Amino acid sequence: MRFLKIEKLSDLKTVREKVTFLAGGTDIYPLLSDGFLENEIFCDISGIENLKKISIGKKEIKIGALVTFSRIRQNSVLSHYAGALVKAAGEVGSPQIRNRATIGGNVATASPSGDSIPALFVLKARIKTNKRTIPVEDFFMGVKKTVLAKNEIITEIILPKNKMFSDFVKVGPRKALAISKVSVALAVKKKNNIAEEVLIAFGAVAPTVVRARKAEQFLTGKIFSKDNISKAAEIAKGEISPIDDFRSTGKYRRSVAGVLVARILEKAI
Amino acid sequence: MDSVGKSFVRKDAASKATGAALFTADLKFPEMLFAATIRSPKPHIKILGIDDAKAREVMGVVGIYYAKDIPGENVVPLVFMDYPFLAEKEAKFQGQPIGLVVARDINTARKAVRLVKIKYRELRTVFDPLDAMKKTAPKIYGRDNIFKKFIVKKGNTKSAKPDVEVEDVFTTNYQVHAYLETQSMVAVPQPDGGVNVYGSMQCPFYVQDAVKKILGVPYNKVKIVQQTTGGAFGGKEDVPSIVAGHAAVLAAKTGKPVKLIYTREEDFQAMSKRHPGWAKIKYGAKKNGKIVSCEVKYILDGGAFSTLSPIVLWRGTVHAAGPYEIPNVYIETYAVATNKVPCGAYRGFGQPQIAFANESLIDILAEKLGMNPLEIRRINAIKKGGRTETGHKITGSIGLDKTINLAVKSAGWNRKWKHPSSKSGSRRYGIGMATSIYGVGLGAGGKHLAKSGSFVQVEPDGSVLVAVGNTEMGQGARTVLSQIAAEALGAPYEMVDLMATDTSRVPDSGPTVASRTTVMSGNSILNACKSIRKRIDDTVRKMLKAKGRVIAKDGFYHIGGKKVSYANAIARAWADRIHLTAAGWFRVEGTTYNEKNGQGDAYFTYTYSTMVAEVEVDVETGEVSILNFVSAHDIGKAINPKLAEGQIQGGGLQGIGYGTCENLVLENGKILNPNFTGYIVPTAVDAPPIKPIIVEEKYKGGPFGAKGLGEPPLICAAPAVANAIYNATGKRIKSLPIIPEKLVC
Ligand SMILES: Cc1cc2nc3c(=O)[nH]c(=O)nc-3n(C[C@H](O)[C@H](O)[C@H](O)COP(=O)(O)OP(=O)(O)OC[C@H]3O[C@@H](n4cnc5c(N)ncnc54)[C@H](O)[C@@H]3O)c2cc1C
Repeated sequence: MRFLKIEKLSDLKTVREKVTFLAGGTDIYPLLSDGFLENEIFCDISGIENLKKISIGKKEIKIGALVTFSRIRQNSVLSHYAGALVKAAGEVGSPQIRNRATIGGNVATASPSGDSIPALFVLKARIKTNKRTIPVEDFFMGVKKTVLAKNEIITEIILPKNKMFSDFVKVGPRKALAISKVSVALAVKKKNNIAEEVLIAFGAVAPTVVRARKAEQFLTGKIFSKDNISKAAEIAKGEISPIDDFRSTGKYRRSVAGVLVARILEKAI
Repeated sequence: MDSVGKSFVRKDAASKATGAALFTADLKFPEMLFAATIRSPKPHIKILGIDDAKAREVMGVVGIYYAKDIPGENVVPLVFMDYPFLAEKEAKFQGQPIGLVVARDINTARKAVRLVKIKYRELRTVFDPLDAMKKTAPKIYGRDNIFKKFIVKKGNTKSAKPDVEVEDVFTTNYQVHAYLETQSMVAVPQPDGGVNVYGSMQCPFYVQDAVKKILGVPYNKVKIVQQTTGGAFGGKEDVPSIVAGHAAVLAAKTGKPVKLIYTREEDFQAMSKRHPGWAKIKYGAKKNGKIVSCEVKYILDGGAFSTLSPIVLWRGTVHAAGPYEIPNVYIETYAVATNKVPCGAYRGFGQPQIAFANESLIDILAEKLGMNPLEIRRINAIKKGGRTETGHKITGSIGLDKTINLAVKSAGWNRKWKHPSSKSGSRRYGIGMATSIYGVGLGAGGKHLAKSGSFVQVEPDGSVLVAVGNTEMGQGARTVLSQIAAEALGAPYEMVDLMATDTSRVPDSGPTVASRTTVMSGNSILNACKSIRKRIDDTVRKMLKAKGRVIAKDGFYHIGGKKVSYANAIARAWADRIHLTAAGWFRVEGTTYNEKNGQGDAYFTYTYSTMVAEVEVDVETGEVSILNFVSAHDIGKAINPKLAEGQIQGGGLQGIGYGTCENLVLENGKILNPNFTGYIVPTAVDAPPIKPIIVEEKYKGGPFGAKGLGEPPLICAAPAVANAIYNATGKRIKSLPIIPEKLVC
């Protein structure tokens, strides 16, 4: 095990060997104590100030990869344009974890239950790296797998500056420090209670976050009635086939996914 | 009283809050080495050979040792002698210790362990205790896999003639102690061939037995000193013997101090747990609600070795019918072997499992009789002059009714309880209650251990050194026992303190378990203080030139209107070369319990408890929020009311976790969630307000009237929650924990 530290993004060019980036360390440290990552070379990026900014532009919002969930949660501008992300940030771990955990780390870890990811899906985020910019939906390849190449670093998350209603809900095994059993993010654009655009994304029910496209289609152009909402929830639930594991059962996840979709849609009325 | 009944700040509060307290992990000795354990990779194997060549090559590895290297006997001394310190030819659960690596640093030791290859053949396994009791099951223990069987027979259940009967099967899962500090020991070899062991533990004398056994040295060469212990809850009762034994062997082999600290995962994998329970239980009652018969078959899943299972089972057995007076009782109980981690002591000791069964079933009975759960408990609750299921006639210190009345009043039961059929909506309110009787101390199940030593020394400046054989493990013994000593001596509380428990200071005092410390060590201290006080009183009489009774009050000794200060009296006694030191001893005479029919006095006294839970259940997601929790206990006398309240709140939350979220998942004997990411204990945000209520029905045999309180706060918490969930939803979940998955699907 070895540690390097870079203070500027440009210093990355000087790094020859394959490294594992270390940001807040909240995913890495548990792995370390389990004896994994023994032969890893770590590159500490936590000192790169450039990656710690939130900038609100005319058309876009840019969130640096090292921005912590505590800061996202407290940002009042973000709560106007990215309600789902702000809500998800508040659901991560505990205050201590949120003070260290970064959005870049959450995305790079690519856990199906990573709480920021469903929000980023419905907010149509793009992931910017030192090499390219990738739509969030093309970023994940499977459980803990992404398209990131060797030593490719996430620099920022870019969100279009839309004033859409968006929200996030999760069900975990307790009220804090809880890995999601199922989570749902929603973004809606409405005109006269008619849905012009609807995005629904599920976390923790498949190897990656998934959209409920059929339910989205069903709702698009329809009025936000109780009846349509419960139909949409039924459709959404049918689009997923979550698995049993020690955290929960597929049956429970699917059933609760429907409940959460209905509840989150009702809030959008 | 000056010291007893006062909520003094804990003696250890400052050192723990500032981080000054020394835990085993903090200890350093010159040339200290570090150990790690080689464990069975499968739940049942025949060991064919071990290839550790690669591990021995790792730089920093000092040695690797196996069963054959043990100088003394390879058996952990407990109830039965079936558990080897290190497996020889066969391993019976995944994680069973097979060998030990000792190295210059901990990472090297752990890395070497991963390089050891065990060659094995898998043997037939059995994981379900009901299967293990079948004839065809592979044999793990004896000829029938039964560690122990008990029977209780009172009256005749066949001739009870009830109007109504209810019967059901209830099951409970493991519970993990989840102490903050994992198992930790340091063994330091002594020049004369003995060893000193410092570590995290509840029962230094068990550890002493184990170290003596594994090294084959006399008791007086084995000194055990307890370090500040980061939680125990029963999990540091018997298993520290294994950890200490291992560290001691390595210290003997290498001649160097050896530290052995478990990772959280191996602690989960191999250390004791609360037994999973299975209970079939039947109540028969008259139309008026009076219960006339109770039949129970109760089975505990003991895991691969017997450890403490026989005595855990015994407590569950003698309390299986609940805190009710029932004329006809038949109880049959078994502790059974399976190829899983051995279970042992856990706060409540065999009672929470069966309390879930009887406290759920009594609600089912109430419903069938068209009664309120409160009413049926009032009718059947054991009262003064009543007889327990073992026929023990209770003549005093019985406050069950009082706890019921105060708990329901505090919760507003009469206003709030409504039949489940009246509830609707997606979030539903419910209220439920449960009660328990708890035998204090070890009782007939452990009467050979019912003894306790102490040592009290009053120094020339009046400060007092107290040593006992019981331990402080977070429950507050150091504070409470100091209060008892202060009161008995007439010393100011601030001047009294307990030293770390050390086997070379006091004789074997039995374990720190079964809510026995306040009563046992408390009485032993009283005994020592009495002889010191006699000598102080003589000095006081001389100083005051007066005769008669000396009363200690407000830091003075008084005779009639005359007084002398504590400090002056002690200074004078020392000047007169009076011996102000005494060893105390307390033992409880045998109870009348007869194992053949389970009749007689099982314990010397009982603590009585009532809990009420209020919940809100989201019926669509199955999530349960505990809104309010009331927990009332008759504990005789609260020596330190704040600490007693702390016990009630901590135990309550632990019981709520047991009831709702703590869910260990095993697949073919392997634990799938061996850490705190996967094994869910309640956090601060999950904790409801817990209202403690203390009832003081004084117990004559206890120090200042005190009984025990360590375990009762957990025992009936889960059924109170389960009954509240039923009240909210109309769904009766018959297995713990009641995770949302059970409520929704
Ligand atoms: C107790 C606890 C509770 C938790 N609860 C939650 C929860 O409720 N919800 C949730 O979603 N997560 C939770 N997590 C997981 C974790 O906190 C998050 O995934 C967090 O966002 C990771 O960020 P980090 O900065 O700590 O990442 P690190 O641990 O530093 O890194 C994680 C991974 O991402 C890579 N990485 C980090 N930054 C970059 C970058 N800029 N570019 C490329 N790769 C990068 C690292 O190499 C590593 O592989 C929890 C973790 C713990 C320990």
